Parts: sequence; C-alpha cells; structure tokens
Amino acid sequence: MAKIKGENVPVIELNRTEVSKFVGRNVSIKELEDRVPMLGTEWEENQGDDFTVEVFPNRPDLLSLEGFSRALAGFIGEKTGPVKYKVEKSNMKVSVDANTKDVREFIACAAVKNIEMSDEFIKSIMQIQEKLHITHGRNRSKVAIGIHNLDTISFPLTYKAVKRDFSFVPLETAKKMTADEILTKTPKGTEYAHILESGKLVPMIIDSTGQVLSFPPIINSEHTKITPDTKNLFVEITGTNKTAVDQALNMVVTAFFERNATLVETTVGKETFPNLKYRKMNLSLKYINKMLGTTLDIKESARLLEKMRFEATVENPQTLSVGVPPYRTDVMHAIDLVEDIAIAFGIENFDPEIPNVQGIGQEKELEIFSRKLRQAIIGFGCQETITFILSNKELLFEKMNSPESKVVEIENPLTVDYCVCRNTLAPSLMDVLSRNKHNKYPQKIFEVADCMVPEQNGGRTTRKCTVLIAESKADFSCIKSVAESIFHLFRLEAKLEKTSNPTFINGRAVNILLNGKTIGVMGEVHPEVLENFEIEMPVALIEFDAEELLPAGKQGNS
Amino acid sequence: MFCLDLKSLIKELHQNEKKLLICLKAGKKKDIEELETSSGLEKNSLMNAAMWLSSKKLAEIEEKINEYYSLKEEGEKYAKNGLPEKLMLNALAELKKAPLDELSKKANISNPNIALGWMKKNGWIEFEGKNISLTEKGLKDNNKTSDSEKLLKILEPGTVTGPDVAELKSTLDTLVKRGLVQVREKTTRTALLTKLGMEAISTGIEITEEINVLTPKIIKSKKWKTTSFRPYNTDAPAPPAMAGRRHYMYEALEFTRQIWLEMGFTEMTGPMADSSFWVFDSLYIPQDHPGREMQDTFFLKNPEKITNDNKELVKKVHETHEKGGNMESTGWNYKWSKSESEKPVLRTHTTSLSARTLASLSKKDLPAKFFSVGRVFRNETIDWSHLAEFYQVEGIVVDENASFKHLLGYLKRFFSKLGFPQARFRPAYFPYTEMSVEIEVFHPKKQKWLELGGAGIFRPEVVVPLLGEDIPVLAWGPGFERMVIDVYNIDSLKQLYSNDLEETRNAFIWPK
Repeated sequence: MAKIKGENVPVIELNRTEVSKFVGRNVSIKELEDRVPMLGTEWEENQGDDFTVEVFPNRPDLLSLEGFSRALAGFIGEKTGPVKYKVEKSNMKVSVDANTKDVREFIACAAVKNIEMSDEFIKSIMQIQEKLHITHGRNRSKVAIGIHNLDTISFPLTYKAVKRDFSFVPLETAKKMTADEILTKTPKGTEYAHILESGKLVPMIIDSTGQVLSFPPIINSEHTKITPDTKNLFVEITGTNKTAVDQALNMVVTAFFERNATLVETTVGKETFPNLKYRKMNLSLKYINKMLGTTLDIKESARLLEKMRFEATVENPQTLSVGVPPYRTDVMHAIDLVEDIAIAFGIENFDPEIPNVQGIGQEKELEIFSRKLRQAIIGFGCQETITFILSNKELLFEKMNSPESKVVEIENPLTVDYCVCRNTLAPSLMDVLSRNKHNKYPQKIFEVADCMVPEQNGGRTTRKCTVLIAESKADFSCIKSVAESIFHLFRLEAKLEKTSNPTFINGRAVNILLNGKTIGVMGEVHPEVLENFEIEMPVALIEFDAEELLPAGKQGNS
Repeated sequence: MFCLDLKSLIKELHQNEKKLLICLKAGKKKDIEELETSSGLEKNSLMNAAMWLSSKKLAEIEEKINEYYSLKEEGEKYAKNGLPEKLMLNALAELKKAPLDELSKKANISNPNIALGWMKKNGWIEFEGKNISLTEKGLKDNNKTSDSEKLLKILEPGTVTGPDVAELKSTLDTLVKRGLVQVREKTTRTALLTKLGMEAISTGIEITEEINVLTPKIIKSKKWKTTSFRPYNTDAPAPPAMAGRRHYMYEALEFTRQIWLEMGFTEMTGPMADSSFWVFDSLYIPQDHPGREMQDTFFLKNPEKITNDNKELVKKVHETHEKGGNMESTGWNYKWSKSESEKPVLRTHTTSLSARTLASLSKKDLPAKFFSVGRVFRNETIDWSHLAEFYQVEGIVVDENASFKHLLGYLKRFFSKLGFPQARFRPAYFPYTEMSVEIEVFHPKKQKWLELGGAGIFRPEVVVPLLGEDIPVLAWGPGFERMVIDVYNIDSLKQLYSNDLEETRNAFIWPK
C-alpha cells in the first residue's frame, strides 16, 4: 500500500523521564527505539532524553504523553489489562439550544478535578489539544476541544447559536470583540472562519452569569483561562459528528485520569458524560488463529489482549469476551482486536510461510505484445525513455504545431506542466530530445506507453508507440525503414497515405492505415516544430496505436 | 599509457608509421609535409602516422601556425599604378590648390572619395572653401615612399609569410582592413624522433608487407595465407557503442512483473481515470478522509461524474461505510454520499484494480492470485522525494486458508527474488487493511534498511461487499521508485524520469 499522503501523520514530542514516570519503571532510550516501532507507532529521533514519535491516524488515543505511556506500559508488560475508571456524580448541567443544530450540532463535556498543575502538564494539555485538532478533529472542522479553569465557571451552562455582533473578551486579548471581529481580525479567527458557514449564527458556550467560555471551534474566552494556579478543569468538545465528539472527550479525560485526577460527570441535555464504559465484543479463538496463522490458546490470547490494555475474559474455551477501552476509536470489527493480538505477540515473532497454493501466472495480452514490440525496436538501436502521462496543452499541441484535440483535464492542477493527461505520445519524446541537446548524436529514442482519451464515462487508456530519430541524416526514409520493418516483423499489411500535417514538412508525412483505419502517422518533423523545441538536428518520427496491432479480441487495457 | 615493451611496440606499428620513422632517422626536425616524397605516403596517411607515432611517444610533433599574406585584386592594381591618395597628392603638388573635380581629373582616378579620405587622414590637405590645398606634411610626403607603398612592392611578386614583414606589421594590418591584402593561416607540423624513437630505429625496423584491415578481397584471394597480420595495440581506446536498450526503470519493472508471474500471479490492468468509488469508497476509505481532499488527489474536469451500474454493490458499500453493513462492524458512522463517490479522479493507487478484481470474482475462482505494476497519481509538488506520477506494485491473494503468516511469506519471497533476501516487518496503518505492516528490506551494499511501503489483509468491510463473503485477502502495494533509486545510487526520484540519454545509455543492468 502506498501511504495515503493525506494521512496527516502527526508527530508527538515526549520525554524519557516523563514517560518512565507514567510507565512505572525506568525505560531507556535504547529500549524505546526498539519497542516503539513494534507497538504500531514510528520512532522518529531523540536528542538526549527528548524524543519524537509518529502516531498513525487510527490511534489518536496515543497523541498524548499519558495515552502513549498507557499503551507502552501494557506493551512492555509493566501494567496490563484495562484501566478502571471512576466518575464522580455531580449536578453540573449544560443546556443545548435547538438553534445549534444548524451551526455545530454536537457537544460533550466533563470536569476534571484535583489536578497537579505543572509546566509539563500545561505542555501536555496543549499537545493533546493541538494533535487531536489536526487529526481526529480534521483541523477543528469535525471536532474542536476547549479546556477551561472550572473554578471560573458558574453552572448551568448554555450552548447556543448567537448573532455575529455578540461580543466577549477572547483569549489573550484585553478588550471585548464581536464574533465578527474575531473571525476577520484575529489570527485564529481568520484561520478557522471557513468552518462556520458565512452569514449564519455562530456557536457560543455561556455560563449562568452570561460569561462566555468558548466560541467553538475558534477560540476560548480570556475569563476561563488556565493559569499555573488552576486546580480543576472543564473540558468541552463540539463538532459535527456525535461519535467523533464523544470519542474526543474520552481521549482527553482518560489521559488526565492517568495523572490521578478525579473525573466528574456533566449532563449535557439529557445525556451524561463522560461515558467510560468498556464496549463489549465477542472474539472467537478460531478467528484469531485463522487470520494470523497461529496456534494460540485462549488464555494466551486473553493475555495478549491485556497487554494492549483490553479487558479480556474467557467466556468458554473457544470465545473471549473483550472490553474495548472508551478511548479506542479504531476498533470497528473483531479484526481490529486480532491485529492488536498480532502486535502484542510481536510482528517480528511470526514465521513467514508460503502456502502451497497452485496458480498459473498469466500476463495481459497487451503487455506481452508491448514487450515484443519494444524488443523489435531496440533492435534498431533505439534507447527507451520513460515519460509522464501528465502533460500540458502547450507541449501536446502548440509546440507540435498541431490542432488541439480532446484531452482528459485535471480539475485541480498544481503546476502548469501537469494539467492534462496526454492523448499522444510523441510530444513527450520531443521534449526528451530538447533536453538532450548536449548529448551525443545520433539520438534514436522510443517508448511504448499509455495515453488517455476522454470518454463519456471516464478516460480510456490507450497504448501508443513512438520512435524518434534525431541525427544529421534523419529523414523520411530512415523512419520509413523502421516502420516497414515493424510491419514486416508483425506481419501487418499497413498502407501509407500521404497527408498534410503541420507537425511535418509538407509532402514528407503519411498516415498509417491498417484495415482501412488510420492507426498512426510518420514523417519528417517541420523545422518550425524543431525550433519550438529548440532542437537543431533533423528529426523523423513515427507514432501509432500499439493496441491496434493486436488481433481483435485481445485488445483493451482493462 | 601504451605498451612500453619496445619490441611489441615496433611489431604493432603500422607500415606507414614505420616508413615515417625511417624518414626521421637522420635525427633532424622535419616538416612533415615535406616528407611526402621521401616516405611515399599520401598527406593524410602521413599525418595519421605522425599522430600515432606521437601518441606512442616515438616522435615529437610540433605545431606552428603561420600567416601568409598576399595582395587582393585592388591591392594588385595599386601596386602597379600607385595608391590613389598618392596619385592625387602628386596632382595637388603640381596644381597647389584646386577643387576636387579638377584634382581627380588631373590625377586620373576613378574613386576620388577614397583618395580624399586617406589624404585627410594622413594630414596632407586642408579645405579652403571648395578648394583643396596642400599642407606642409603633404609637400614633404609627396617625395617620400610610404610604408604602404613599400609593402605593396614587397607583396607584388607573390605571397610572403608573417616574419618577412614583421617590421611593417601595423601598416600591414591597415592594408588588410582596407581590403587590399588577404591573410591565410596555415598550420605546419614538424616531427623529431624522441629518445625512444631513436632506440626503435637502432633495434631495427623492417618494412614487410602486412595485412592491416582484413577485406573480402584478401579473404577471396587467400593472400592471408602468405602474408602476416599486423598485430593491433589492443589497449588502444575504442569508440563507445551506442547500443539501443530499455530504460533501466522499465527494466526493473519488467523484472518485478516476471517475479509475480513466476509465483503464479495473474496480471490486472485497468483504468487510470476512475471514479472515487473504485479508488476510495470500495476500499472503505471514508469520504472525509484527508487523502480524498483536493491537495492530495487529482480530480478530473471531464467527465462530470463516473457512475456505477452495479447498484447492488453501491448499496452494500454505502451501508458498510455508514453502519458496517451486514457484518459485525460499527462502520465509519457518518452520512455517505453517492455523488461524492462518483467524482472522477486519477487513481492514487492501483489498489483500485484489486477492488475491481475482487468484485469480478466468484467463489469457484478461488484461491486466486493477482498482481499489477501500474502508474498512480498524487497531487504533489515534484521534488527529490515526491513525484506526481509513479509506479505501484500491487498484489492480492484471495484464499480461504490464507493468513497473516502467508502475507509475510509471499512478501519475503518476492523481495528475495528481487535481490533483497533480508526483509522485516513492523505494524503500520492503512484504512483498508487490518493487519497492516510496513515492509523494510536490507540493502547489502549500503548496509541499511530501506522502507518500501505497505501490505496487509483487507478489512472485512472491504471484502464482504465486493466478494460477497469474508474471505482473507492478502494485499500489498509498495512503491517502486525508492528501491530503484537506492539500487542505482541516484539521489532523486525526479532523476529517474529525467531521460538524460548519457545516463540511460550507460546505466547498468538490474543487479539481480
């Protein structure tokens, strides 16, 4: 699988001493370097005790010092099995106005009491917020997180949509600003304004005294700011997808729970948060061993799951009852549990094995034919090139002096060089010649490669063949020799028909016809075209549809 | 550089070289051209022989460029009749003062303006209204022979060389500029025996008839039976062969195709322009996945949408994305959009072909193994490590009895056949596989592990809608360019597609 580039893979910064504190024993850099990659995270680098780890997008729960350490402690066998969460009752309430539905529908909240504030903790709060925003929160559009000083807030709170002239003092500011001003004048406002639909009401979380907590997903208020003296926190999550919002709250509060903080429930509308129950799934031993190719027994399987911090109880000799931690967002199917068993078992501990499965290899006809064609052309002393299908109209048409024909065009090109898919191959190779003027002649080049022709339901891939001869003696007859040799070798009865084609010198170009159908063209390239490519050597070329040379029924690329 | 064993050196001498060597026997510097008669060689052969002797350090060749001067047509006329300005000066000396037309009549010259120009330049005349009068200098110079006149006299009989007229060089340059005299450059080469050359002579050089180039005539006449062949200096450089060959990148790709075929895999090909359905949705990639955004995927302007006729499959994929479909899966928990799945894109991976293949299989076709080597597209700015268009090597094994162990086995065998016997794996993540692994192979020359890309087992959410039931599908799709640049010691992916003919003509064959 090629990595999907869009996976905005975040990197977290950690410290060995801090991680050791949470794991419960001293871990060395060497051990980390060895174990981190096998846990399903990537070791980046370290400078002394500070190190960085890349976290895959399916495990946002690892995007904090606390969450990462919780997983590592299990993986290296220091603390296994589930974390038992306790949530204190409270009558903190948040009411949700119906008008938020069109603005930013979902909200989940919880309080975290008795924290031990420190520089490390503040750093950790900032990291977890930032990383979750980017990944799980899709740059705050799907989910946004606000963390406040609980002791500055008077309950009950209201989550509602307000007009854009509503004002409050935003974080790190001294004076009141309207929502509109925040969106147009502050850095955070301009960065995230696009998430809120323009012209509409904006979401706001307000306490019983009218004091604003947060203007999600943009900015918190100055009033509820966390300081070095803060003892109790309030966490609010808003977003456009309920599951994602609830999961984010769980990831944040369970991370703080690792710091021995007290979690306190909050009722939002009719629902009470956080919901830290372990989700129950059944897992059969047969499925585990079938998918992994192992012979694990039920107890060993349970032990491996516990290393990954799952709750695992043996239901019967064939079945495990598995509790999925509330912070795990990636477990959708039993197969996700099987993968965690594989990781706990150690990918390096599997014995690779090739099964004895019969199979008869079969190439595509077009590929077989293309190979034979290439072989024949190499025989003429030609060097193969490798060029891109992505191209541009200037190269395909303007420089070749040829009229524009239909091409598959890119909606969102990044450069002018690559904004269409070529429908003809020779221009790519003319470009190769123009880049090789400093090299020895003769330059005989060819390629058998794909082009694309627009069609109603997509672009059809077609295989073309082109040969270019550039040298002082290059003329029509040299390229005709090549063409006739190809026709002879492949037993084709091709006909040549004089044509006037502005790419070529008038009177020195022909269409190639096979069974009455034009399949290609060849000739002596017009000096004006040579000039367009800044080539100072005569060039003769041929281009034809390679697919057309295949017997009917064997054509087609799909 | 060349063989210094004197005897074999002499043996390998061409007859012409031998002849020239003997001509130089006297030990004096000789003009090579003058040796034409004494050596009996033509000019070209003579020069060739001299160059070879020089490269073999038997003779020293000295090159000298000589300039030869001769009169052009106008110069010849002036040499005979006198320079026009001088003729006019003579006339003026007689008339003392006169207008131009009278003066030119008296001097009897056809082009008075040239004469007038030079007279003024030489400071011989002054203008008094229409009249021209003589200066003191003019009067004085009238009786003197000027340098120009002297030169014309020297040149009149024929060609002279540079040194002959060295004293009059500046005047000569003026006459050249005036177009009266032409210059020709000629290189003369003189040859002198070196110490080694002397030694060769004293060792004795025999000129016998030898065969140089074997010709059809010699073969037919059987002359080769009676005449010996001149041995060649086999260390002499030969011109490079301009052989036609495959591009080394294609060569490497062909090699991987061959490996999959050997391992019994069937080739898959398919559209490069495809619907988002086949590239993303069928692979359980959620519609809000960052990889589907504009900055990562090339979307197409035309056609507007690519629809899927298999309505049943679309429904299954739809349900699986939203709620996990008919398997025990939570799904992605969002609202799936059909129109989003119809957006046309350039495939970002050939895994779209695996999806299409799975959809076309039925249970009786199993077990089955497929591969593809194809181009994929990413909307990226091209730099040393990123290309907008590159290759992916895709493979799937669809087998009721396949497992994770087998996945590792197939990959290990493939890379071993490719020339990397050591392969290792670690956990990775792809939205459509579970388990997912990253493949690394050990590069024996560089002594380092190379990251080659990913592999895994397709998630049930991918397989069930496409194939109808949950059968293990092992899958991999490592990129290829990274490995090729490492093997060829190239530092940029871009260079692979740069098509520098000097590089591609000389790239070595894939090492395995």
